[in-house]
Amino acid sequence: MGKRSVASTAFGIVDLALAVLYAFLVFRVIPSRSSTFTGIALAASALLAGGGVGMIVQNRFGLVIAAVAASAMVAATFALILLLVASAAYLHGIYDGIGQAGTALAIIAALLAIEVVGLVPALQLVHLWRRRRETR
Amino acid sequence: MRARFAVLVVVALGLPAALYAGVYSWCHLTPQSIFPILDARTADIALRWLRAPLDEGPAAAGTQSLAALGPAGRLPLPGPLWASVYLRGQLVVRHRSDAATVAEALAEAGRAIEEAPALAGLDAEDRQVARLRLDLLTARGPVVTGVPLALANSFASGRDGVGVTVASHVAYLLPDDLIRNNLLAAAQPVAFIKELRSGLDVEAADQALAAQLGCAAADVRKAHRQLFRFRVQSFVDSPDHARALPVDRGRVPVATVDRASVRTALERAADYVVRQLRWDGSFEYMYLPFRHQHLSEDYSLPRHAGTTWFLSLAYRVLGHDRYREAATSAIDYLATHAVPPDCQATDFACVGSNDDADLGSAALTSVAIVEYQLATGDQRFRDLAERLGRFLLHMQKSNGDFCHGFAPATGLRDCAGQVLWYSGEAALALAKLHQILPDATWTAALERALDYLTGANYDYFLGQFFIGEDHWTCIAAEAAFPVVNKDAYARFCYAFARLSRRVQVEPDGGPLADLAGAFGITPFFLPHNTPAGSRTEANVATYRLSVLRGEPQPDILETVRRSLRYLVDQQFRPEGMYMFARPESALGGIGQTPLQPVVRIDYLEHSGSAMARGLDLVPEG
Repeated sequence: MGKRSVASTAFGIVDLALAVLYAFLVFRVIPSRSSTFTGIALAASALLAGGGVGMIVQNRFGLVIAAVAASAMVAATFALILLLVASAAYLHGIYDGIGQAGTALAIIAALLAIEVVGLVPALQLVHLWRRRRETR
Repeated sequence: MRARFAVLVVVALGLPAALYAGVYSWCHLTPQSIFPILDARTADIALRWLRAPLDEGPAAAGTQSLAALGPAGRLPLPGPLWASVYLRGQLVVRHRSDAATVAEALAEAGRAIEEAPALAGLDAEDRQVARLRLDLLTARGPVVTGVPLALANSFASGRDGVGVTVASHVAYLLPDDLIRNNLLAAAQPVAFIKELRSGLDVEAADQALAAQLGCAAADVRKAHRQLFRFRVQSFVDSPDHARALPVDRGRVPVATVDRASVRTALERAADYVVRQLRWDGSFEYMYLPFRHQHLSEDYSLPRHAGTTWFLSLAYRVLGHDRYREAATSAIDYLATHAVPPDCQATDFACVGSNDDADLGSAALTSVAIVEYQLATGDQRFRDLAERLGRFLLHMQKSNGDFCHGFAPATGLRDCAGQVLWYSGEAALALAKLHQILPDATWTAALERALDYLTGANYDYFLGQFFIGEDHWTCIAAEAAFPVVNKDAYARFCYAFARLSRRVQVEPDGGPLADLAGAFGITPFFLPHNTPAGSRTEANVATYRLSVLRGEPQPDILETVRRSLRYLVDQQFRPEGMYMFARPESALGGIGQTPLQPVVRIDYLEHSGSAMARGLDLVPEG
């Protein structure tokens, strides 16, 4: 375990805030009819919250949890984008096109997925990688 | 390191591209697989053959007819063929043939119609009005069934049918069945937005499929993995039974229009409105053609007045006395029933009730009266128009905008709530009033109103990027031209027209090409017909304004012509309407959307006014 870092603590706080935001979005703003989707979203929230605590505590175990959580979120972002691509392809196939609005919405959704789900974990992974390199 | 990065880039870009191509090719019905089976000649022969039993002709004559199919008769069928007989909107016979070739399937269907018990009791008149429809499956494709939202949106509206295989039995719901049973635009994709509806009502479709299979809906639900979508090539026989007409999304499409066809459409629209007039001068507010049912809940006085305006426009263009008489009754209704007691003895008149009068009703009543007087020369409602005009002046705010509500009982204006269209309607009313009551007071108020509507109304950051439903503003700008002509009004209306043009479906508009001329941006939600009418009214006015200003805008003219084709295409015409209970009652009506044939009077108000005012912009045939 290296010395405590303000940046790590900040990432931890942001992780916790995002975990609360995801849970709020899933339960209150866009409740899904699919329990699978809700379950996955809640698991992601819990994992992110765990990573956030790890980043604040900053012990060895906590940082490993944080790295796993951030990696999972980056992977989830990629999976989300793949799902969007598959959905767009499916609708294109069914309707022979998705129109200007469909294209715009798909691009906006992909960018939002990157920004809301993937950006902070990706930066966090870079931070953890640098931190690890500095402590070696 | 570089190699690893290159692999990462290839995976990051290649995987989505491969996934897209894979999913698309899996579910797309390729052009080859939806290639038409019958052409116009062979479709005529097929329909005549199927019609023979209905016309009580000898079946033997039909045998020769089928031979006339030639090589088309020997074509292998990729799926079933359906022959349906509709009588006053009711499906009285349907036969599905799974025979291998076109001729075999037609022969089987012809025999089935001949032997159908439902036809035995039909008299000569029933047989004459019965319509025959032929559907041939051209392609079928898979659908995603595990995700409810995806499943509901897996069927192209009006074009795809739904099929399922349960225990080796196959049931099909044809596109017509989905339209007739209101199963489209029925799913609610977002749980908390009840107004947003798109896609198939899967539960109701399950029940309909189960009814065909003679099983429970739960059995169909269990077999959801065996659901599929399919396309058909469809024809209906013409009302005189002489020809086979192609059907797309439940209607017989119109490829092009000329001035004569738009004139006919205008006449049918006006006649439809005349038929809705009740004994007291009010209109039947809504009409449901599938059930031949009228509804009058939530009667709207602004829409009544707007529809009355359309009648006067139709009279000006077509000159039929029935439109003048209907307009007289409809204005009389407003004068005797809609001016509340507390607005009768005052200097100004309002329209509504003693508790609640509004700007839009008064404005459009003025517009209707002015147009009526201009068209007929009858001045009997002139005083009412003038008093309504004074009401508009009373409602105008210092910034040029208007208060939209008024309580006659207290004499108080309600300036809090705003209705999208009322201020534009008031501006148009002021411009029209000047045409029969020339007075600088109207002109000054009109100028302030248009200055506000085309300027201060959008004077905020987001206002630079969009324009709302300002069709009345542009109609007013054209009407105002002789007395108030400003660059700002023209620039605003040109921008509004450009915005319309950007969302107008192009003739090569892919999945919506059959709806060219409508205004819509995605195939998931079919365009509504009211905006097609109202924006076209505005575009006609804007084009005329550009001509008056000596700067004609050909793009706007083209937008108008495309929209008019769309409106004629959407109108209920004799060729279509085979699914309607009383076609003669629906004739001339225009539905809410291409698949939702519910008619409200204002759909005719906007579409009919667009036709009346745009008629001379359509080339002669």
